[in-house]
Amino acid sequence: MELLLQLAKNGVIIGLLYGLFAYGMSLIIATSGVLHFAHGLTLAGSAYSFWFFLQDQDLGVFVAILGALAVGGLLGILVELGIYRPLRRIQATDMVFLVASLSVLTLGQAALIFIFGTDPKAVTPTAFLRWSTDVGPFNVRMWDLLIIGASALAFTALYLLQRHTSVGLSFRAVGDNPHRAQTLGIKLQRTYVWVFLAGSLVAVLPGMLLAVQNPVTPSMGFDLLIKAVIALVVGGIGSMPGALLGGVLIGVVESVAVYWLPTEWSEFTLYALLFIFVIARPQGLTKGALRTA
Amino acid sequence: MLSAGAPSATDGGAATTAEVLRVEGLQAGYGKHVVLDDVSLTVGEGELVALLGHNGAGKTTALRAITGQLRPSRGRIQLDGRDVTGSSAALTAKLGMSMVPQGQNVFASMTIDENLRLAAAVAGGRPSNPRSAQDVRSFVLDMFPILKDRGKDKAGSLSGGQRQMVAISMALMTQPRLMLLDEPSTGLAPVLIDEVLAAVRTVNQQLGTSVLLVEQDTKRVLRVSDRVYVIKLGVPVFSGTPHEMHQQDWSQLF
Amino acid sequence: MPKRTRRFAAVAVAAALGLTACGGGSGSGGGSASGGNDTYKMGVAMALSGANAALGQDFVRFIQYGVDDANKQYASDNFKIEMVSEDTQATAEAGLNALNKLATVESVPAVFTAWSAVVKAMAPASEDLGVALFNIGANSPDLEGAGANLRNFFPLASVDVRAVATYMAKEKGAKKAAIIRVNNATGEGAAKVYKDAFEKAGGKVVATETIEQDAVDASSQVAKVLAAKPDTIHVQTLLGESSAVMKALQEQGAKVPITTYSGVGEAVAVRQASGDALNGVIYTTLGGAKVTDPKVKELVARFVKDQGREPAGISYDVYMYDSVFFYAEIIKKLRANGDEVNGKNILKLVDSQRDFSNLPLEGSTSFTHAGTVIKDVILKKIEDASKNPGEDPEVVTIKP
Ligand SMILES: Nc1ncnc2c1ncn2[C@@H]1O[C@H](COP(=O)(O)OP(=O)(O)OP(=O)(O)O)[C@@H](O)[C@H]1O
Ligand SMILES: [Mg+2]
Repeated sequence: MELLLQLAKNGVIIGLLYGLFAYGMSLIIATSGVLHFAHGLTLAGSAYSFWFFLQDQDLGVFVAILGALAVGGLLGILVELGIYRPLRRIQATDMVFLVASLSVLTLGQAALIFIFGTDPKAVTPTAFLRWSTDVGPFNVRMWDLLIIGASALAFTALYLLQRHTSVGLSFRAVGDNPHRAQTLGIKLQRTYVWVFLAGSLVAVLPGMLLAVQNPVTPSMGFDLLIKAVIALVVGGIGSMPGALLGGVLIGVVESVAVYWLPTEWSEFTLYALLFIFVIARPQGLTKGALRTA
Repeated sequence: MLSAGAPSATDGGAATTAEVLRVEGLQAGYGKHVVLDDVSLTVGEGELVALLGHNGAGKTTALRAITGQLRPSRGRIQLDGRDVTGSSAALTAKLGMSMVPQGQNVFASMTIDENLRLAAAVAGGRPSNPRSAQDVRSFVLDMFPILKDRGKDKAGSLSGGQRQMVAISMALMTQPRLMLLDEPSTGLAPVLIDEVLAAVRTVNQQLGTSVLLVEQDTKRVLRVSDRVYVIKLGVPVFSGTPHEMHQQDWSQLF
Repeated sequence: MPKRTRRFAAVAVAAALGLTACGGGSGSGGGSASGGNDTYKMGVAMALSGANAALGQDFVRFIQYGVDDANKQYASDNFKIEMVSEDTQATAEAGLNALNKLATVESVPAVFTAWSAVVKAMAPASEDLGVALFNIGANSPDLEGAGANLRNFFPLASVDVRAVATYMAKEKGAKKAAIIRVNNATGEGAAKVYKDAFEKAGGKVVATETIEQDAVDASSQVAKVLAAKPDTIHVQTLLGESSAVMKALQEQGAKVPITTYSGVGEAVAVRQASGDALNGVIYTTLGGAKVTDPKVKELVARFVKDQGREPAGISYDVYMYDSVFFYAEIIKKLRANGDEVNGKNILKLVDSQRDFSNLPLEGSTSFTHAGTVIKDVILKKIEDASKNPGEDPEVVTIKP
C-alpha cells in the first residue's frame, strides 16, 4: 500500500512535467490553431542549452536558466515567423502545417546531433538537487518540489495572464473568433508571436527539470511529444486545465498500472488510454475549447 | 430606457457639423469581381447615418473597405480629415473606427466581463479619448443592466439580442469616433429589433458617438436615423433625410 | 511519417541494386593473383553518414592505420591489403546494399562491419554471396550463430553478462537474482544470457522487469524487483534511462549488490546524472588492450595529430586496428598452404586455427566453436561516481 502511494506520487510528479509541456502546446493550438509538434524541439533545445551553459561552460545556474529561456523562446518565435506565418499567408491546410511542424522537429533533432553529438549529456546533481526527505509514506525529493513549484508558478502565471492582461485576453479572443478580434483592432500576427513565445517559455521549464534529473538526449523532445499529444487528447484539445489533468492522468497510469501489469506494457497502457478516449470520449475530460474553423 | 418607443429623428437638413467620415468614389470588390463602384458618403460629428440596400447590394463590402479589412481599388477614405485609404484594420481601429460585424460578434468562450475588458484594453489609453474607461463602463452597464447581472457568464450563453448589446458595448468600450454596425438586427424578433435600434440611438445621442448603421429593415431604420444612403447593385441610388426617403418609390431602390 | 518513407525508399533502392548485383556478380574470390606482389581487398562496411557517422568514420580511419602498418609488417610476405569501404548508415537496408556492392562489384573475399542490426541483416546474405563476414564492433548477444559465414571478432555482450552471472551465483552465493533491462532486442538477449548462466550455476532469476529507452522514472520497475527479494540485481540498460534506474534503487533503499556493464558504469553522462546513486555498483569490463597501454596511447596520439581531436570510440577502435592484422595473418596462412583467398577458405582457416596471437594491441584472441571470441572479464566497483572511471578499483578478474 505504501509502495502504491509512492508510485502514485511519482506518477503525479512526472504527470505534472507532461502537463507543463502539454500546456504550452495547448496554449498555442488554442490561439493559433496549429498543432505545434516542433514544441518537442523547443524542449530539447532548451534542455541542451541549460546543460551547455551550466555544465559545459560552467556559467552558473542563473545564466543557465536565462539562457535556456532565451533559446526556448527564440525557437518558438522563429518557427512561427519562419514557417507558420508564410504558410498562413498562402492559406495552407492543417495537413501542411502538421507536416511542416514534424519536419522542423526532425530537422531540429538532426541539428542537435550535429552540434552536440549522439552521446547523452548530463548535469551533475548538486547537494541541493539531491536533497530528499521522508514525509509520511512518501519520499519527497528536491526534484519533486521543484516540479510542483514550477507547475504552480506556470499555471498561476498563465491563468492570471489569460484573465487579467490584454495580451492574455487577446490570446483567447483570437482563438475564439479571429475575425472579430481583428475588427476590434487586435493584430493577429503579433498575437501569434506572443502566444508562441508564451507557450515555448512554458516548455523550457520541463526542459530544464528533465536536464537536472536525467541525461539529455536528442530524442527527448520526441519522447515527450507523444506523451503530450496523448495528454491533450485525454484532457481535451485546446483546454488549459485539460492539459494539466491529462498529463497527470497519464503520469499516474504509466507509473501505477505497471505495478499490476508486466512492465513491458507501460507504453501500451498509454496507447490503450488514448484509444479508450478516442472511441468513448473524443472531446476529452474537459470539453476542449478548440475552434473548429 | 430600452423601451420600444425610439426617439424619432429630426427632419433637419444635411449635417452642418464637422465630418467624421468622408468617403469619395469608393470602388471595392473581391479579386476581379467589382462589388462596389463610385460610392461616396459622409458621416458628420454625432450623426447617425444609415446605409441601406437589398441583399447582396454591397453594404458589408462597403464597411469592410472603410475599416481596412478590404483594400479599395479606387477612391478615398478620410477619418477626421486624415486619409486612411488602404490602412490596415488594426490602424483604423486605433484611429477610432469600431466595426461590429454581422453574426458572430462576441467572444463566446469568454465571459461578458472579459469581452468588455478586452475591448477597453485594446484601445486603452488613447490620448484623444474624452472619457475615462471607467465612465464608459458605467454608462454601458447602466444602459444594459443585464451585462452587470450576468458579467461572469460566458457570452456564448446569452440570447441573440443580449449578444448584440455585448457587441455594441465592446465597440463603445474602445471609445470610437465612428461606430460601424452591420445589421445588428439579424435574427432578432421585431420587439428586440426596436430595442437594439433604440439603444443605438441612445448611445448616439447621449455619448455623441457617430454611427454608420447598415440595416435591412428600412421602416424601422428611418425612425432612428439622421440621414440615409441607399445602394443598389453596388452603386448609390439615393441619399437624403428619412423624410425625403419617404417620398421615394422604394420598389425602385431595392 | 518521414522515417517510414525514408525506410521505404532505402528498401526499394536496396532491392533494385540487389537485383542488378545478382544479375552481374560472379562471386569469385578476390586477389589479383599473379607475380610476386599480390593485393587483397578488405571489404569494410561502416556507418559513414547519418547519426552514427562520427563513430563510423573514425572506425575507417583506424582500419586504414591498420592497413598501412600491416602492409609494412607483411611486406616480406609479398602481399598487400587494400581497404574498400562502403556506407551502411548503421541501418539494415543500407547495410545489405553495401554488402552486395562489396561482394559483387568489388569482389572482396571478406567484409568487416559493425552495428548489431547491420550484422544481423548481413549474416544470411553473406552466406548467399559466399563472402566471410566479420563483426568487429557489435555486441548484441543474439549475433552468436546468426549466420554460417559470420564470425564475431568483437566480444559479444554475452561474454561479460555470462561471467558476472556465474560469478554472483558461484562465488558470491547469490541464490535469487533480479534483472532490470531495456525494452529492446539487446536487453532481451542479454537478460536471457544472464538467466541461463545464473540458473546453470544453481541460482534462480526471480524477477525480470523492463524499462523503455530514455524513460525518466523507474520507480515501478525497481519496486517490483525489490518485492521479489533478490540477493543481487543486474541492470542491463542503455544510457538515457540508466540514471533513473540507479536513482530509484537508491531511493527505495536497495541493499543487495547491483551489477551492470561498462556501457553504464563507464559512461560519463550516467555517472554525472546518477551521482552517488551509482556508488557501490559493480560493472564488467573486458580484458585486453587498455587505453593506458603504451601502444594504444601511441595510436591515439597519431590520431590526435592527424585529426586534431580525440577519437570517438577508442574501445572499438582497438578492434578496428587489430582486425587488419588478423586478416593479414589469415591471408599469409592461406598463401602458404597454396589455397585461394576466398570466403570459404577464410572461414575454414579461422575455424581450424581458432587462436590468433599476432594482434598488435589485444595481443591474442581465441574463437569458440560458436564463432565468438572469449575474453577475460574484469569486475570493477564504482566507489566514487564523480571520479574518472579509470580510478574505479578492480574487484576480480574472471578467466574464461
Ligand atoms: N468574400 C467574398 N468573396 C467574393 N465575393 C463576395 C465575398 N463577400 C461578398 N461577396 C459578393 O459581393 C457582393 C456583395 O456582398 P455584401 O456582403 O457586401 O452584400 P450585403 O449588401 O452586405 O448583403 P446582405 O444584406 O445579404 O448582408 C455579393 O454579390 C457577394 O456575393
Ligand atoms: Mg451584409
